[in-house]
Order: sequence, then structure tokens, then C-alpha cells
Amino acid sequence: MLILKTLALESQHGWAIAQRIRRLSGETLLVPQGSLYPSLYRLERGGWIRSYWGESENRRRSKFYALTASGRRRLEKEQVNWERLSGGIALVLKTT
Amino acid sequence: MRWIHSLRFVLTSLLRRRRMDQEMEEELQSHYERQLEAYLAAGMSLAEARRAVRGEFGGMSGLREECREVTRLGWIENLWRDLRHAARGLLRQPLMTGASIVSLALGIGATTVIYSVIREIVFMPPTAHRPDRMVSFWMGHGSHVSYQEWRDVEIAGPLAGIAGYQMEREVNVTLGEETRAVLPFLVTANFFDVLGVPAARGRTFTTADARAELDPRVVVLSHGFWQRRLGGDTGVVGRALKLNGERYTIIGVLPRVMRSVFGYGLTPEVYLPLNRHLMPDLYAPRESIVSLIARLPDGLTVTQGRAALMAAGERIALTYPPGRKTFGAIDRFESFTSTSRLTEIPVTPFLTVLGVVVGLVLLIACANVASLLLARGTARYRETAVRLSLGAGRFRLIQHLLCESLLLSLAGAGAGLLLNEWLAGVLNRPPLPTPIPFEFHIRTDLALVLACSILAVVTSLLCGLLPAIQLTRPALAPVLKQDEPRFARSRLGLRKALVAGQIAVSAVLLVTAILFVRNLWRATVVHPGFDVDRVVWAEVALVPHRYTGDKQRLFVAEAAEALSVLPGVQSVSYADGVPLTIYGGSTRGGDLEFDGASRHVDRSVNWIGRDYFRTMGIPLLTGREFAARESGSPVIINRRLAEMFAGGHALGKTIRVERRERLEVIGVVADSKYRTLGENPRRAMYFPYNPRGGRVQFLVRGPAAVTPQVNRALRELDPSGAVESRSMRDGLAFALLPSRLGAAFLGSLGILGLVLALVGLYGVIAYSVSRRTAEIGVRMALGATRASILRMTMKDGLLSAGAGLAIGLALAFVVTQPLAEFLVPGLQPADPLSFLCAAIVLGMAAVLAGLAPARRAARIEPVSALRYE
Repeated sequence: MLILKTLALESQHGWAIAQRIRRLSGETLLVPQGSLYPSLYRLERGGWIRSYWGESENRRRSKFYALTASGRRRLEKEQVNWERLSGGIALVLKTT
Repeated sequence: MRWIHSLRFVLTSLLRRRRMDQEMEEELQSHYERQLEAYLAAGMSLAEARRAVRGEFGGMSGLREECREVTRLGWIENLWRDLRHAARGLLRQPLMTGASIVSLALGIGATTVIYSVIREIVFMPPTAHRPDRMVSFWMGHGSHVSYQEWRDVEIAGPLAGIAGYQMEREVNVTLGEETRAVLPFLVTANFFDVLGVPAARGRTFTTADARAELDPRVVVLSHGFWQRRLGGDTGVVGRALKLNGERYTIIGVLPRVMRSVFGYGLTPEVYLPLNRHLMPDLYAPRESIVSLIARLPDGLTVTQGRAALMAAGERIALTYPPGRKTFGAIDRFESFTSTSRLTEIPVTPFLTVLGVVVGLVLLIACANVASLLLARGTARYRETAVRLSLGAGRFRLIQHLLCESLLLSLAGAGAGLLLNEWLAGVLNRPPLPTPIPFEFHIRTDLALVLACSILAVVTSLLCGLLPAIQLTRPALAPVLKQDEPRFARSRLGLRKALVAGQIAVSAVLLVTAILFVRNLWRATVVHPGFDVDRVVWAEVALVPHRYTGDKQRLFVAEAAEALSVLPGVQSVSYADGVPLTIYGGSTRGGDLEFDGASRHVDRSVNWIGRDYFRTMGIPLLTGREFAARESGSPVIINRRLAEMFAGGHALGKTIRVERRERLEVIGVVADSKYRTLGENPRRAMYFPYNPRGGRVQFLVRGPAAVTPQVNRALRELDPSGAVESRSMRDGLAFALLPSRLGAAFLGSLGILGLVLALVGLYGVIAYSVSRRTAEIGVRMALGATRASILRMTMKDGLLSAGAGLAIGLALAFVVTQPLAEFLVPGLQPADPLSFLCAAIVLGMAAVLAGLAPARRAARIEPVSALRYE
């Protein structure tokens, strides 16, 4: 979900995705490379993202990932789910 | 949708594996470098930065593998790997693989052949444009209607075209010097229009130019006739062809595959429009002239078409005379593509028997391969157990084992298809000298390949699943502890029984096969009771309407005269029938009265000319032969019939037939064979020759070399008559046909059974050797000689083989009893030589089959065998 959210803003390459998640989460979420790339491949296989080769900001050849239409739908659904879940958890936590 | 995407992704990765790997490598590398740069920028030293990045990445190769895993379609790759692995494994044991493939090829091949033959003969509709819209039917409670009736119903037009055909009149075709009788299809002029079949060359005839009323003289040839008789001459259209002595114009040649409307492979050589010349009685009001076929109009179902036809028939019947008021009755109204003609002929029980036999063969083949796979698998039992205990999925292992049987089955199916192709080639040749050729167009098409592939998959499951489940049964501990697998003993018992059964079946097949081969050999030397070496047989088919009244008698007398002056000819005779040929005379049954006592007697009857017995070389025991002209009711009988009289004295006595006709016995001749070489001695009566039906059999006593002159002499007398001459020995090929076919069919079955049984035996012995490798090693280490090991391993297989052989021979004794009728006299069904031969062949084959694995056992090195365990 986080990866999809990151890509919803703009297409990115692998390293940048990791950096962005770290920055956006205020350095709390560190995505280890060991799980980043397998996730990316899985998402691509599922058709939620697609990849293409392009040049990055510092003119380096990189593989970019972009969100597809079905990826956007999935992101929305996951977000709704997440909000419901986290909202529920928050409520449970508050009552104690 | 998602899975399609997923599949595409996986497939592209699969196909461009190398590039994918490179890209992945590049991507990870660039990430690595960027992270490194980032840390360096943050002020880390190079070594520190490297360590940090590596720590984040974890194991680089593990990461790669994980990424790769995503790009894979797990089971497809596994399957591919398993197949390759299985193929390598199978190739490593060529003998066993070969035996399995042969076994399966025979099983699948036999099934495929039967399937394609049945499909061709029973299920293939006649060639027509949209055969599902074509129907055949009976009208007015009969298979045929008169020409006028056909015209009436065709003009009434209830359907989109009604045509008639018939194939009961022979026509003499003259090609160059030779005239031959053929059985054509005589059809109404609209026949090809209704069928919707165009000519492959030239054209077919139409209502415009070939109505019977126009007395058409055109002919359309079958592809086979054009090829065989005219050498496939491309300029044949427009040429003349002499039929019944008159000129006909060839207007077209039909396509190669032309299944006639009659079905069952019957293929007429020529199609002719009906005319007065070929059928003088064409316009006779009540004559049965044509059978009917029709095309259904578009939008009409078979039931509606039948109703329309019935209505038209009933309307027409109103104008018919009282005896024909039922013209509107429609029977057997069936589409060309309907399979209801299965009920027409008693083919269902035959097909059932065939199906059961073929199914058994396939089952035996499967059992064979199963036992071979089991033998193979058992040798790797420990490997399997280790893999299981290390956590390999049982399903994965079964899949792996099934891959082997699938490969075997596919190879078997391929070989089976080749076998089918070869046999189809044999069947597709018109093999029998029948008056109307049987042509088959069996081809290997997509449906057949599909059926064969399905069969292969089913077979692979049949023969692979059981061993696979057995071998992966998770009873790990005992195996790892090197105990005997618990199931081994009972399985081996079952398999021994299986092999014994198989050997028993093949013993039966083999005894029957040898019996028939011996029968064939005996039949070729059996004496038919007449001279076959110094008799020439000439068959003349005259054009019937040219020989009305006494003309045929005159022709016969004239021909006999002409033949008797040929060099080397000693005597000439003629007859209605020639023994042991298609025209073997007829059999009658009924009451005969001898010396006042009436008895029911079946006897062969023939009408013969003067000097018949002298010409045929049949001894005349007492009395005289017929003269050229006889008065009264004389009869000549054979010795066996004469024995019906007291003391066998028949000469001059009277036989009363059916309490009416009195016949005077003027001669008694020796017994001979009449219908088959194998028949029991029959009673026979001969009557004076009475010409009829346009067909005369001439018999000439003289050297075989005179045959061409006989042919020429007869042809000169009437060029329109079809003449076929051959020496009596060649003519008897027909009498040997049942023996030949029987020997060929049963011989192949016997060989089939033998091969299958041997493979089974081989499998069992190989299996037991592989099971007992350790034991053998111990025995050898303790001083057992190679010979004793050989004996020990052979013992098992040969014991079950011996038991099977004994059962099989006993069974064969029972099974062959009903075959007595097909055997020549002097050959008993319980022929000791056949049984002995079968026993020796099977015994030797069993020893050979067992020898290979047994020798392998004897060659086992004690040390390696012990280490093996």
C-alpha cells in the first residue's frame, strides 16, 4: 500500500521509492531493500504497477515504476480498508 | 483479468529470462550505488558506507532468488524441469524404456486402429455437400421404387431434390482387348445435382443431358477406376468407353475421396445414368428400379421433411392402382449423418467384442508399464524416501513420477499413430477381388490425433498413478532404516498373478495363431477332389438382353467347340458353378426319397455340361456323364449321396425330390470339395446344364499355359462379353481367403500377445532383481556362484510363467474347439503340434525375457551391492 501511495504522486525508481517512504513517514518506516524489490515485482506481476526504463534526475539510467489504473483502484480500496482498521484500533485503544 | 496479466508477465519473463536477470541486476546495482552515495554524502567513510548498505540488503543472492521466484509460474517451470529430468532418466535405461514404449504403442496403436476403422466404416457419412441435409429412405414399404414412381415423387417436389440409384446390374466394360464385368451405380440424371458433388475432372451429368428418356450414353468414372484401369490419363474426358459393347462418352472423373451413398466402403467404379440399353425393363410399371435419396430444403428438419414427403406420397398414391395405394408409407427416413444405421446391421455385438478385446490389450499394456515403472521406482526407493523426509511435497514427487509415464505414453501414442498410419495404408488399398471394390479413406486427422493424445494422458494416469502413489507412500522410517518396504511382498504377489494371467492369454492367442498358420499351410496342399493343375477356368459374363431365347445355349456350344480345338486342350466343359469359388454352386435342403424311404438331406447342387467330370478330373465311379442334350430327368450324384441307397447301389434307381419330381441316377462320381476346403464331406447332385442369367463358367482341361488363348478365343466370339480366365490353382485363391485372413489376423494377435506378455515378465523379474540387490550381494559375498544367482532370480519369473502357460494351454484347448469348422480335415483343434509349438515358443521367450535382468543380477559386484544399501 505504501509503495502504491508513493507511486500515486509520481513515477519513481526503486531507490527513490525507499527514500520517499522513509522521508514521508518521518524516518519511522525503513523499507529494507530485501523486501522492497520482491514487492515491486509482485505488484508488477499483479498488474498494479508497470515498469519502464528512463533517465533519473542525475541522468542515470534507472527502472521507473508507475501506477496503473487497476493499481489506483486497489490503492483506494486498501486506503479505505486501512482507515477502517486503524480507526477501529484507535477506538479500541482509546476506550482503555 | 488479473490472471491474464499475471500470465503475460510471467511468460515474458520466462521467454526473456536472460534479459530479465540483467535488468534486475542493473536495478539492484544502481540502488546499491545510490544508497552508497547517499551514505557517503552523509559523511560516512567508504568502508562504513559499504558495510551499512550490505547490511540493509541482506544476502544479495537470496534477494535475487526471491525476485526471480515472483517472475515464475511455479508449476509450469517445475513441469518443464520434471519432464526434462524424466526424459534423461528414461534415456538412461533404453531397454526398459523401449519395452514400455513398444508395449504402449501396441496397446494404443491397436485401439487407434480399431477406432479409425470403425469411424471410417460405420460413422463416416457418404460424400455429399452438407451430408447432414441429405436423407435416404424407403417408400411404399420397399427398398426400391419403379422409375415412374421416382419421377412422380420428384416432380411433386416435396423436398429439395429426390434422386434414385441402384447397383444390382452388372455392366461389361471393354478396355482395349479386355472386357471385364463391373458393378456400376445406375443413377437418375439428377443424382449428382442432389448430392452436390462436383467432378474432380470434367463434369458430372445433369437432368439436361442425361434423362433416361434421352437414352444418354455418358459415364462418370471413379477416381480408382481412372487410376487403375486408365492409368490416370489426364486427357480421358471426352474419350469413348465401351460398355456392354456400345460407345459411351466419358464426361468426368469423381474426386479421390468419394464415399458412396451405400456406405461401408463400397465404391462403384463407374456411375451411369439410367437408360433403356442398360435396363431394358426400366419403364416396367412395378419393377424395383431405384433406391431413393433426397436433399432436405433449407429450414426443414428431418421430421418435417418426412411429413412433407409422406403427404406428397399419399397424394400420388391416389392415382395408383389398388396394389400400390401404400406408396405414401415412408420407412427408414434417415439423415446421412445419423448413426441409426448401426441398428441396420448386426454390428453392435461385433463392435462390443472388438472393443473388449482392444480394451484388454490396452489394459495389459498399461499393467506392463505400471510394473516396469514400479521396478524402476523401487530401485530409487531410498532416493524418494530421502527427498520426502527432506520435505519435498508428495504431490511434487507424484508429479515428477507421472511425468515419466506421460512421456512414455506420448511416445507410445506417437508410435501407435505410426502403426495406425501403416495399417491404414494397408486397408486403403483395395485388397479383395470383389465385383465392386471396397475403398477406404482412413486418414490420420486432427480428431484422431486428439483422441490419441487423450488416450495417452489417460494411459499415463492408468499406468503411472498407482506406482507413483505406492512409491511416495510416506512410510519413511522403515525405508531409511533399510527395512523391506512393507507393501513389497503383496504387490509382488499381485504382479506375479498378473504376469501368469498375461502369459495364459498369450498362450491362447499363440495356440490359435499357430493352429491357423498350420491350417493355411495344410489348406494349400489339401486335395480338393478335382484336378487344379491341369484345368483352366474361364468365366464369361454376357450382356443378358443380347442372349434371349436359345441364343445362350448356342453361344455355349459354339464356345465349347472353339475352345476344344486349342492346342493341348483335352476336353472342354461348362457349368453354372465352379466349386470353391464365389460361384460355387448352391446348397439345397429338403426331403429326398430313396428306395421308398424319405429323408431330409442337405446337398450341393450344380448344373453341368458334357464331359464335366473328365475335364475336372473327378473320377466317374459308375454310369455315364451327361450328353450334350439330355431328355427326361437324369441326375448324377456323388458317392456320399449314393450311400443313402441300400448297399450304395444307386445307378439306375430313382430319387424323388420333395414328393414331386422323380430323378433317375445315371452316374455316381467320387466325392470332392464344394464350398470350402475345410468342409466335411458333403452330398452332391448334378443336373444337366441349363443356360440362364448370362453367366457361363467354362472349364478347359489342358496346360495352364493355354489360359491366354482361352481368353482370346472367348473374347472373339463376343467382344461385349466380359471374360476372365485363370488356371484353377489361381482361382482357388478365393477358397484360401478365409484361411489367409484368419491366419493373418490371429497371427498378428498372437504376436501382439506374445510381445506384451514378455514385457510383463521382463518387468517382474527386473523388479524382483532390483528389490533383492542387497540380498544378492550378501549371497555372493557368502560364496554363491553366479550360476546359482542366475537360477535363483530366473526361478520366480519362470514359475509364474510356467503356471500361466499351463493355464493358458488348458484354456486354449477349450477355446479352439469351436474353430473346428474353419480347419481342414485332419487338423484337430487340439492339434498337439500347435500346442507344443506354442509352449516351446512361449517358454523360450520367457527365458529370454527373464535372462536380461537375471544376468544383470548375476553380474552384481558384492561390494557395490552392499554399499548400495
